[in-house]
Amino acid sequence: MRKRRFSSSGLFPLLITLAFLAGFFLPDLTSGGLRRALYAAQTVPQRVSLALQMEQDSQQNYLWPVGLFWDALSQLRNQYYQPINEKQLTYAAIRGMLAALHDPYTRFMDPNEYRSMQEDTRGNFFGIGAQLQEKEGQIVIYRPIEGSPADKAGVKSGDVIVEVDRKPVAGMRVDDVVKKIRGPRGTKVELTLRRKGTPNLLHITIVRDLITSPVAYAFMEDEKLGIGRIRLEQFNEKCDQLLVQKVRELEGKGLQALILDLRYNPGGLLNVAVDVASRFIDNGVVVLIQEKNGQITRLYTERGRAIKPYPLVVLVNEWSASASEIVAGAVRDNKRGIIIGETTFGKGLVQTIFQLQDNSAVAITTAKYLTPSGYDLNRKVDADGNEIRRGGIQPDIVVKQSEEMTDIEDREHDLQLKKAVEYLREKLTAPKVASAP
Amino acid sequence: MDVRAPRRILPWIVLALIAFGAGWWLRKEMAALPVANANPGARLSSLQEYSPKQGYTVALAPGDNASPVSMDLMQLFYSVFKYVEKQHADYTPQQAKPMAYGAVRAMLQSLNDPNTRFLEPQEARLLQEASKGTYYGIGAAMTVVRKVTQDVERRELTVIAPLPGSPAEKAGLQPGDVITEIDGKWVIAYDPFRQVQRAGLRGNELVKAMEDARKRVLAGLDLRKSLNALTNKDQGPMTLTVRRGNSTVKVKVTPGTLNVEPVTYRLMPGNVGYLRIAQFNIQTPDGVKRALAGLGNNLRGVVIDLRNNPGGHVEPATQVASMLVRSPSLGLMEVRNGETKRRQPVHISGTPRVKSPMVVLVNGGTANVAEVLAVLLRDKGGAKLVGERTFGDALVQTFVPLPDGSAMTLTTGKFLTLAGGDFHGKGVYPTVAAPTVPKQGHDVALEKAMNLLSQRTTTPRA
Repeated sequence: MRKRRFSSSGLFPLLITLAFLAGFFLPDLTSGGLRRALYAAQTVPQRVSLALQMEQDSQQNYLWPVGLFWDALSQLRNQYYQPINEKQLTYAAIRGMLAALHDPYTRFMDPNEYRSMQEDTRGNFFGIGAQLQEKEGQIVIYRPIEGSPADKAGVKSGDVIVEVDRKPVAGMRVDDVVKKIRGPRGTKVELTLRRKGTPNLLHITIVRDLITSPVAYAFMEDEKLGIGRIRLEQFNEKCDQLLVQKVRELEGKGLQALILDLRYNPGGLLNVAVDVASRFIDNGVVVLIQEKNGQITRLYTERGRAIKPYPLVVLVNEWSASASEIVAGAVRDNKRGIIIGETTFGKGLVQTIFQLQDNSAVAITTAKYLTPSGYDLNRKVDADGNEIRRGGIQPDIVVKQSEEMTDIEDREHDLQLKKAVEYLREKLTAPKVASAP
Repeated sequence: MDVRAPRRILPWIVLALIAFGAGWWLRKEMAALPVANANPGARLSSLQEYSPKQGYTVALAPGDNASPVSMDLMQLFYSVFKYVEKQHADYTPQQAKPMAYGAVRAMLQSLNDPNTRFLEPQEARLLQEASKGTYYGIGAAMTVVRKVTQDVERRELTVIAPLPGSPAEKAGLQPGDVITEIDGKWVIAYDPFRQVQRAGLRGNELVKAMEDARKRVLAGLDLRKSLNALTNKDQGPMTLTVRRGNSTVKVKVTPGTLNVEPVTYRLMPGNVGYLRIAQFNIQTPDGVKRALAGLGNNLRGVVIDLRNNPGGHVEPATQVASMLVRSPSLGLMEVRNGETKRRQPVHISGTPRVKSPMVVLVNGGTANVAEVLAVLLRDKGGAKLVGERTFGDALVQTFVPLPDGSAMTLTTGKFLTLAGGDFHGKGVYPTVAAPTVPKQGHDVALEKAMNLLSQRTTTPRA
């Protein structure tokens, strides 16, 4: 009897607890088990906020990409014959959704892709030092960085990569080719290249190293007349400071006229473009930023930073993009100099990167650049990839580059550079004429 | 003690009940809380309701039914869309629709299953009409057959069956024909880059092959464009390049509109009934019922013609089966069950109306649920199969309508015969082989079938 009382008084509170829990979890147990119950408990706050957001949205009639995706994925989950990976399906759906915008710069990066992009912007990566670009389905060397392993091994701008380590790359995306080429310092990678004018394929083995870009280079093209040239490789944070340093260097050699060489410069940071433009234009508008709502923000040069107003030529080609086009456009619209070369790439879009919940990210084109005169320099293609608008900056003097040019510093054949020097020579030697009244 | 014990226990039981109730109530309250804020009475089980005017009403609530898809993935997709909507320089609300279609299309494409596809409303309508018997274009049931040879995957746009009276039939298209070109444009059947990569070419040969591959893809027609071309009634005459066995033929077809009568019948000499089932759609069971009534009860035999029957819906097929044969099920359907597969019978019920012997005509255009039915009639109805090997398509494609009129076709399972036989990619062999293309007006297979039935009746039954 005593024993029984003891046991029951211990047992019953336990039973009551169990009864409470049973009641609490009843809905889950009846509709899918304890795992789901735990899941439900974990994600309640997140779900509530999402529910509220989406509820608000649904009243505005915007939600149907989300709804359709949800419907389709639910049906796949319930009915599809083969096992599915919902995460990969979601990534595929996101990429498909963004592709429908026909904006090549708005793109999704899965966690791996995002990580390697971050490495790029920080500059801590090991590779061969060549920028790649997809052009008409081919992977093309955009520009080997001066002094980099690729440059030392003789890789040239415009070389088409056929194989990496003897594996064909045709049909691959640029990002995937970059992944194959990068690797630990000191390891080797073999590229098979096709070069214009070279009948056989080239096989080049390159040792990977830490890549840093020197950014600015100075040359004196005509010592007698003092025609100097500064080539900028890209617009990163060091760019402006190095530019000034190179100008001082050339001034020491008697600089009278300047060529700003932006060929093969793919761009970079917007604020750096403004800084660089401020070195040439004392007082003016560098670029117009057209926001989503159509609102236009003028970015002005920073006053008091300009170098002496030397006669100026900006050299550009079809690989001059983004920040390069901003500077070229600013120089022209402010009538500060003339543009020589070929029509530029035509990328007048600003991207912003948004990190997502699972460490993936999305880069979205958030604004447009217009040159100070309001020219939209963006190249446009239709759904099939056909060009519907060329865009880019058209040079004042168009000079097609010689087919024989083997390297960006092959001055022997550099028709564009020759034209620039010739133009400045005339300008410097022409008798000064008083302007007409 | 017998009396006292329950008394002592009673308060505990009451307490336990209260506790149970309290737990249940608390949970309900927790669940109800956000619902009250969001949308009163909404349940997670019905995540979206669609009304054409309002768009999706997404009502979410944690609680009684967990979401079918991970909320994290939902949130990921949602965030990307919201960023685009709020931040993208060129976004306009008109882009929401192409974005939605692009998302679902890409998602389904990533499954690498050519018969699982997204259909825009127009494409979905065509498919729905086809399943009701109205075909536009060349009038052939088509599928995409996936083959892997030497690591190169091929997706061949294949004719299952030209439908009776269709432009495809008139042009002489045959079951199993692979359409390789439409008006001289390549129907992209494989990734030519991959093929070049595997070919082991070097040097300039490789470069040239790559360049050619690029040009081929740019000039080619993808699966969607090809299907759209073949189902366009307004397109003028077109020339199809067709691979038939080891030869290549050119076929000229003039697309049009075609209504297929799912069931036709006639009484043959010698009191033999002839019943042709062209496809299984919603009208088929009634058609068969009428046909059997029209043919009468005292038949010496029945020829069931399933030639060029590409299949159709499962439900009408089960109804037809129930009129012809006594069996608990039509066959088996294999479906996914989590990470594994499960086989379930496709039930049928009813009383067979046919008591006379049967012969079933089959050919390379007999596919899918028609193949299942043929095997059932052979195994449970004692029917002989006369003709040629069947197509061998066992995948169950489900048409899943989406709320805005677009749709998906999903591969949702695989048919197996009643005995568990897998005929996918293999087909079913006839009991008696006979060519099924009529020669000089002679339908050899039908004549053989008639012969078999007359032999049978002369054999006294035990």
